[in-house]
Amino acid sequence: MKSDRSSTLLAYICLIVLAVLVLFPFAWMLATSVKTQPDVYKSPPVWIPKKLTLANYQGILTPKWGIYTLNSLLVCSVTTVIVVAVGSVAAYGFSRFRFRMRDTLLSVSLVGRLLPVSVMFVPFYMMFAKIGLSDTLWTLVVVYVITNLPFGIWILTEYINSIPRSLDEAAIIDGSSFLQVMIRVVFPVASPGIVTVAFLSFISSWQEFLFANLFLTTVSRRTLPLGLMGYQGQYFIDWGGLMAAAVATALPMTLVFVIFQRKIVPGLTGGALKG
Amino acid sequence: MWMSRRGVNLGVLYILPAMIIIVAGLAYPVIYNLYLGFFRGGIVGTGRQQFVGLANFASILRSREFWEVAKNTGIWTAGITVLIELLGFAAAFLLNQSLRGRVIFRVIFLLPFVIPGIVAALIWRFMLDPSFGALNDVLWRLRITHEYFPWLARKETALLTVMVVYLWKVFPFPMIMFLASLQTIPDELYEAARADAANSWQLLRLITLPMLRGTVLATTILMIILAFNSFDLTYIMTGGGPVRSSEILAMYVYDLGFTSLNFNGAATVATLMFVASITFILLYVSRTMHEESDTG
Repeated sequence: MKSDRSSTLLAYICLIVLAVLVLFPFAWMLATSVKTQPDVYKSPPVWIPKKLTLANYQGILTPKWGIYTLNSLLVCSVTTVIVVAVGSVAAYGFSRFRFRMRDTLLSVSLVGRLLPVSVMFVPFYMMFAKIGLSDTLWTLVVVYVITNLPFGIWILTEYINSIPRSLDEAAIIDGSSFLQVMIRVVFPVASPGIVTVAFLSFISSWQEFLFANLFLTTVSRRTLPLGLMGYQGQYFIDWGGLMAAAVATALPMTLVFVIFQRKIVPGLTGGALKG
Repeated sequence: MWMSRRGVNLGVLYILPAMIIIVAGLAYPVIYNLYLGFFRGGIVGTGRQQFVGLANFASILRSREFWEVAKNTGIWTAGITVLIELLGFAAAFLLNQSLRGRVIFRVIFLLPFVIPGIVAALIWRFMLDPSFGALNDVLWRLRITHEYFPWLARKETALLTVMVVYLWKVFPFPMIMFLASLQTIPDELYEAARADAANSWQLLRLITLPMLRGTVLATTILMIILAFNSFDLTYIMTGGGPVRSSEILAMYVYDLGFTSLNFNGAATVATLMFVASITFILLYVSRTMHEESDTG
């Protein structure tokens, strides 16, 4: 029918327009990363460069960048492992047990997710400075765990709640302890939720800039986001190099997301979103 | 409940490590900020802290800077919340139609949310450059502007510009929430209404929106909180400038603490931020927990 066809067309047009608006910055980032230095700064900007180059990517092949990557990997992995380990155990406790403070403490978790980060600036800085741990990667891990754990617990509790207790009961009747039930029965079934929390914790720590900037002064301890900021000099910003580094920083995460989006997206809304 | 008796103490053991981390990690800063707000100390917190009662609060609440920043934060929070929900809903609505290839579009729309905030901020800063920025060129070619404009460097436009970037980056969030909700509305409702000769507009108004009401409320409260807490984007794109025109409260706390080295002042503003947001936070938490016990 005509009205159906035209409204479908309209919908597609809207989708395409929105997609272009969303994708344009990405395209520009990629394009700039392969432009020659003069082209990057031409005014008006060059839309179709005559020469392409990979020179801008030299920055990420340096040992310095390798160290940044290593530091980021280290911090993010440790953070993720702690958040998942502590969080899933806690989620199991919240989901399967009833105790007096249960609702209150669960609420505290949720509050934790929503607290302004600015509340943590001064106290954490002063505390770590006093202990003398200011310029270490461990400090970052502590801060990242504190900021990611609440949300992780919340998602995992919801997820485990949706796993029928009959599974637990069957295992308990078979003689397992609560601990065994948790590890052998509940966690395997909860693995999509666990993967989601791991993914979210990882990318949240990977891109965290604020506290990294605040605490890490020694160059050899810096993480990737700080490396990106390093492309900005006082008078001159190496935009070409920066865009290349940005591609290098953003690409892995983006690819992982695109490949696994079917699993991750439902986790974001607590399983309500189909495929 | 089969676990309620035997499990009373056991459950506490499971949640203990997590709760220690959370309570210590969150209660400590809040309380310490509160404490610092009542004192004045030397530089970088060295030296003795002297009790000054409400002097810090008084001077902050009387300073013009603070109210300028507060005003910016108000515009930022309200503007973003309204616009981002409209945008998110529009995208969700489009994605909810049975169109071929909508999964591809959904992945595309989610991309800004997935990339690091710093990458987004830097790309946009590059595109907004007054000489070689792509955005300026596009606007000029479309005849929307007459010349290249320093969006981030003028106090009239700085805040709004960063808001637009925030919208670009975060709109997938309400989009996903609305999409999840939209998909729970059964098709039969729409079919029945169409059989009664309802047009699209009526479908939207009388079926879709009412069924979305709960989600809209939850998303609104959440967006208010998230926008209010925002820091990264303004810090990287403008640093609060020019002349604090794009400075929002979280940025102000950072500025006071680490640029002006006024830790006590920073702590005072942080406490004020906490007090301001706690209402919305508790609102959201009580709503969500309430739903939990309804379905749990």
